[in-house]
Amino acid sequence: MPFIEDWITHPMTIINRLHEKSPDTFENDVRNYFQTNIDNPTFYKEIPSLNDRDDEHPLPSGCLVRYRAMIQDMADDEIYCTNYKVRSNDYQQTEIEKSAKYTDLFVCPPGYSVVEQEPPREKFSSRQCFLCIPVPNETQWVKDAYRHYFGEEFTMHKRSIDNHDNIQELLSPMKRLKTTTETNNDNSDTTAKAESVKPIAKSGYIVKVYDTTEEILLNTMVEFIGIYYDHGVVKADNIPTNDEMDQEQMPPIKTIHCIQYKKLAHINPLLHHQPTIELDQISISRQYILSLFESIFPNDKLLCEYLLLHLISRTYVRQPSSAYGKLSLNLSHISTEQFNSLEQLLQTILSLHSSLSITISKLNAMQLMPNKNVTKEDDNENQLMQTPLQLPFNSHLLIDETKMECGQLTTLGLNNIKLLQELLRQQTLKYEFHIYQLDYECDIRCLVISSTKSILPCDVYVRYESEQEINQITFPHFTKEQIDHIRRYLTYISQQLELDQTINDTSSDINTYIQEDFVNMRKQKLLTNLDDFHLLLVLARLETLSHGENILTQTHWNQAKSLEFTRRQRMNI
Amino acid sequence: MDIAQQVPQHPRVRDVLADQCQRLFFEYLESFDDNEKKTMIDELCQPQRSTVLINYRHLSNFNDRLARVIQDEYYRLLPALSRGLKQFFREHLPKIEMEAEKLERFKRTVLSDKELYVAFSDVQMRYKLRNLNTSKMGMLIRTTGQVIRTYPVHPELISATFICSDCQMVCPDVEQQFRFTQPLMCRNPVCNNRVHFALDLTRSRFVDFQKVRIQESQSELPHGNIPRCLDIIMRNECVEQAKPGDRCDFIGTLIVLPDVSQLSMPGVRSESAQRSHGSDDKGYNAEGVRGLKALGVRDLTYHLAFLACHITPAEQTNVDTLLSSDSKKKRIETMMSDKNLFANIRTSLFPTIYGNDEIKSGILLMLFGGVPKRTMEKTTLRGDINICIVGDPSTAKSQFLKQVSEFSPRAVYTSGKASTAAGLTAAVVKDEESSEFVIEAGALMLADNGICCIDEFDKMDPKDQVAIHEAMEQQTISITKAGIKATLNARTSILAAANPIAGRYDKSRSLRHNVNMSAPIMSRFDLFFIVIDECNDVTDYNIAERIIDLHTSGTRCSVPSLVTVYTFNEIRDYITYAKAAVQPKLTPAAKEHIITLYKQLRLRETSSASNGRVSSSSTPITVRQLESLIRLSEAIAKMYCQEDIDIQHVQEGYRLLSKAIIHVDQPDIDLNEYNRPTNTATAPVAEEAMEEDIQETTTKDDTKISLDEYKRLTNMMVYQLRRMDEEQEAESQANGTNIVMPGVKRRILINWVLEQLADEINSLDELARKKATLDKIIDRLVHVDEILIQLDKRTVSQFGMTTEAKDGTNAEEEDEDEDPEGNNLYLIVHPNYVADDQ
Repeated sequence: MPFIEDWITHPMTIINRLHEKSPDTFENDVRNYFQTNIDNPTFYKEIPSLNDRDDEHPLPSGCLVRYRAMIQDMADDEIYCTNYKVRSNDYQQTEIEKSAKYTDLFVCPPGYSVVEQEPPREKFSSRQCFLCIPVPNETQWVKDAYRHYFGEEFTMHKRSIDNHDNIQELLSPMKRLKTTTETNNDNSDTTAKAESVKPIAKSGYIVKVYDTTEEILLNTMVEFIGIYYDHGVVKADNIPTNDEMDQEQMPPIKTIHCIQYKKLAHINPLLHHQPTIELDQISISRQYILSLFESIFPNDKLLCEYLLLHLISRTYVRQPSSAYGKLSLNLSHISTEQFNSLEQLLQTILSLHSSLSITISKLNAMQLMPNKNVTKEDDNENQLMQTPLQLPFNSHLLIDETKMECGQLTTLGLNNIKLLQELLRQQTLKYEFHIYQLDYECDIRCLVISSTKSILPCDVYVRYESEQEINQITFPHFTKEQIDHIRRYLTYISQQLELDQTINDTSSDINTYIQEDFVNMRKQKLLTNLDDFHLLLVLARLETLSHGENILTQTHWNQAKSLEFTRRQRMNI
Repeated sequence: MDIAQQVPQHPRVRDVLADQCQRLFFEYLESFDDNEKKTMIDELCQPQRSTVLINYRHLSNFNDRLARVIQDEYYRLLPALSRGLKQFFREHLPKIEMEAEKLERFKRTVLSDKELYVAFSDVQMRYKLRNLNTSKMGMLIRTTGQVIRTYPVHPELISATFICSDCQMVCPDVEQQFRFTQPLMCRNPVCNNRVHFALDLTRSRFVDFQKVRIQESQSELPHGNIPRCLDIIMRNECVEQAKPGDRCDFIGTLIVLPDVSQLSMPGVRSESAQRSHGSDDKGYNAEGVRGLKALGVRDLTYHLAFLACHITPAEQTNVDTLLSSDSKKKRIETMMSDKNLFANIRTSLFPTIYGNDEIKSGILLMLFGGVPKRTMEKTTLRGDINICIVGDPSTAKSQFLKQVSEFSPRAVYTSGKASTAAGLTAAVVKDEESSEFVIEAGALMLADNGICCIDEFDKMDPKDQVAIHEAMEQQTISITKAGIKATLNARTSILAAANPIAGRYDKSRSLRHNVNMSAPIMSRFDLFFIVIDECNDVTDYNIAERIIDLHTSGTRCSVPSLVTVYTFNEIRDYITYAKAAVQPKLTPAAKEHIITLYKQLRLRETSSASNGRVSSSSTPITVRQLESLIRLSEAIAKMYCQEDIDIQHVQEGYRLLSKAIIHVDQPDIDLNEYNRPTNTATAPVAEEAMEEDIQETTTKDDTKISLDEYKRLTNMMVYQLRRMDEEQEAESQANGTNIVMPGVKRRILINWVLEQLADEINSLDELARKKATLDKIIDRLVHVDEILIQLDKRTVSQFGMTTEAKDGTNAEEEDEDEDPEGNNLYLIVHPNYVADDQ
């Protein structure tokens, strides 16, 4: 086994050596070799991660990297020539055949030159190209936790100080929770901190994937392990006037030649070590979350319950014009202070969270529909423009509508509203390709905060009701372990939803019971709309799951019913 | 004097396969008959033509092996085929009988000057753009895509003649392959020049060359992927045949081009800027990363392109291709022999929607469509069927629309709320770049030959609704704006969904009063369906089951209860086949039947009008409905793949039409529900006894009457009240008194009505019952419908008509106090009430 540094810093040497040894089994050899190394957790930790790399400290070209990313765009397949020959320049003219896999360039050892040949067609192969960006709505604690758990000793620069910082950062939301008395000060403090976080290279990487057997879809989260190339370096050598160049120019896109990849269903690092949670843990965590919510919304158990169900909701059936399982929530009549704490709390407990504030002027100015202008002359412009709505599956999006005012919508604004409406209604997002528009499925839990009922169609609308004005929010004291339990709980439960078959497994008793109930409710005119029935079923399912159970019982069905009818009573529907 | 010819050259490697193919191809061309040869020659005589189009299927019938070899090795054999073509003309020209002058010209212009090419059409090997990979390279294949960008046509050098700058030696016919290639060295053995050559333009040969870029079409795109693009290279005749936006079929082969500027794919904007920086001082020109060569590295990426030899507009799945596939043909045949075809297709088409069979039938027939016709005067009669669904919210209206737009290959879904007339029909817009006026297609035009689904039709501005009149009946769209005058085709069926005015469908009112649509638009719909959200144990139970099933199925796999007899693709194929293969005609018997049915309809319409009765039909019966009936019959015959329209087909069509448009499902009216609560309580004993008697003895017939009857009686009363009013007014004017007594006494009115109904009443018992019914009707009219207004004596007195004028009234005033029945109250018609359907 070669020295450790070797396979991380110079993977190509190993690949070449394997190729020389046996060109026929070379592909398997490479895969096996790296597989064994990567599977070893201590070795795995050694691989540098591109996610916490900033532009100032680039990695050397040609080393092995990890990259946790989202597929943001897909390029056409790339044709490459699998093998090439080099010939020595001396009179012996020895020819060496080399593999061109995992590289962009023919590389010649000194004293050799590339043999120019029209490669016969058998030697061409294709590789898939993805444009990947770091997961856009990954919350800070996730980043920190990754750094913490898979932290890197293999570094070019002072990691020790950073490490220290990381722990601080990880704890900072916690600190906030503990020291709630000085909310305002702390608030401004954290935002300032957030800004000071070093901008991690925003630009994406092109990931070239070989021999894909399964399909990788747009917006999936994937962890790639591959060889990193930075060809910008070569160019920079040739151009002395590099510094004069416009700062706004995009840095050259760097490539990763993927050796191994793994699709990620979630990015919660806490679940990597402990993939399951015990049942008693679930009910405790459930209590924790509700108590956190209740500290923001005192005296409103109903709202808190809905908020919890909303956070674990997830689309599980799609129909041409609708999606079931989603539970978009609209909250209104809450104070700014509550809003801020809620946002902060969500950032602390969710792994994928982002927020979007909509006002007339913003709607009119901002293009929310991701678009790819294929008709543009310049090939380089031809890439999918990312927008705040292009998010990975199972994301959480907080839509802030509180600052909405009256005004005129332009065509762009109207389209944006339509886009959002479609997102909420069907969980699909339109992408513009200029010859046509395409609907892409997505799964984004939307929480709309508005001053009155939202203009966007939400499944559930709850108005916050309280007697007293809320000025100060006191979070209960939680330890880091407890917060981690909550984080695990939320990811775990919403993962369960996909595997779960709540209604399926049950005997048909509960089905008949629900059916009869439905007929009765129709008779009593309690249920006029079929959508309400869908909503009840979704609520019952989520209620079941939130208790960690996976069989729907009458209790949960009745619970869901009472929840919904209490809400309706409050809303006077 | 050419020195170079004496220089011994390397023996060229002969491609044996190519030579063989050249010979076989030559034989194939010989098999053409004289006429075909002549047309070939005629075509090639035209100055711009240099390609001979060969029907691939014809070739494979002649020699299957040759065809297969060409398919597999197309790119390699291309030059051999061209040579074979030329050889053929050279040898066969004398044998063909033609005018000598023409032959001479052909020899001169074509054989000596022109480079001849072979192109193939009708190639069956079809690949999706996404599946074009290196394994398909060099094969003759066909692919489809949507043209997104075209580049200008420019000449391409295919064989160049160079002149050595040192010794003026001529190097002829240097073949050029996608890039500029100079001779390796001067042919003059004593000249050492390897670099300095000048191109002799006059002796070099060029062809037209154009690059277009195509994108994967929407229907081929796999779920959750970004559409891909491919460059198409076209030469000669193919040039300028594809326009941006077209969907085209390209026949040709995949080739690989070394791509120098591709290292930075996609999206390194900085590169061009960097290049320009570098180029001035270091001779680092804009050829991508050529500079890397110096470092011993070479760029590795290649570029896949498609060399097209023939372009046709993309065909929809047409009948020929359908029938050429045996399995599909068999499937269609089994479907044709299915006894239960109608019901089976219907349920397969909408597996997730419960019930509503009539609507499903209607939509299914719409997919088949009628037969468009042309009259003697060259006006067209549409064959497309338009359908409108009106109904309560959440009754799967939109689901129908969405499903249709998913199913149908050319369907557009829009919402009326968000579209203006311009968005639906067509608009003249100013092009941003050229600032010229161009026509922008709207939804209706986009759905030409398809279906346009318009949701929330009623929310459209009435003005905009008017704009689609023309499109719905004449199936064209005319534009006269900004100097552009155009008539565009919009041969679409329209499937619209609308909400009732008040949010809920009011069954007691006619359709026209329920929908916010103008009569002309309404008459253009062949079928109107009304979906009412009704509470019904059985349906509710079933709906609940459906929905629970849906949620049960959990993770996106198919719902077991939704397994259908036919798949979408099968139905689609069947419809395409039926539409193309069958153009049904009316049989004489069916004609007769239609005439009688139409007569019946008209008669019913006119008779009900003359009776003063409200016709229950939702739209007046006109010739349009006759056409609808014919169209529906045609569609049904088409569905069964029968050329003749039988009486059964007409009857089925009539059934549907009468379900949908003539008869609006109107419920009986329960009179008791609206009874005055005080009615029986305070009534005099005698009357009470009588009433109770009635209520005990009468069946539901009396407390519930049909809406028809209700309306008939209402109108009768309204008519009478109005008439009496007028009479009184006339009377008072005649008398010269200004005091007008409004209204008619309730008792008088009831008596009058009973008189009118005298011939329907046979016994005293019945009379009493009738009277009670009338009472209730009046109550309902007053309290619920507010068509009549009841005035008691105090209100009446305000009109100043009171005492002296008529003594009788005075006397009766005392009675009124003991008259809880209100028999003596005065009734007038609400001034705003307009009788239905005059």
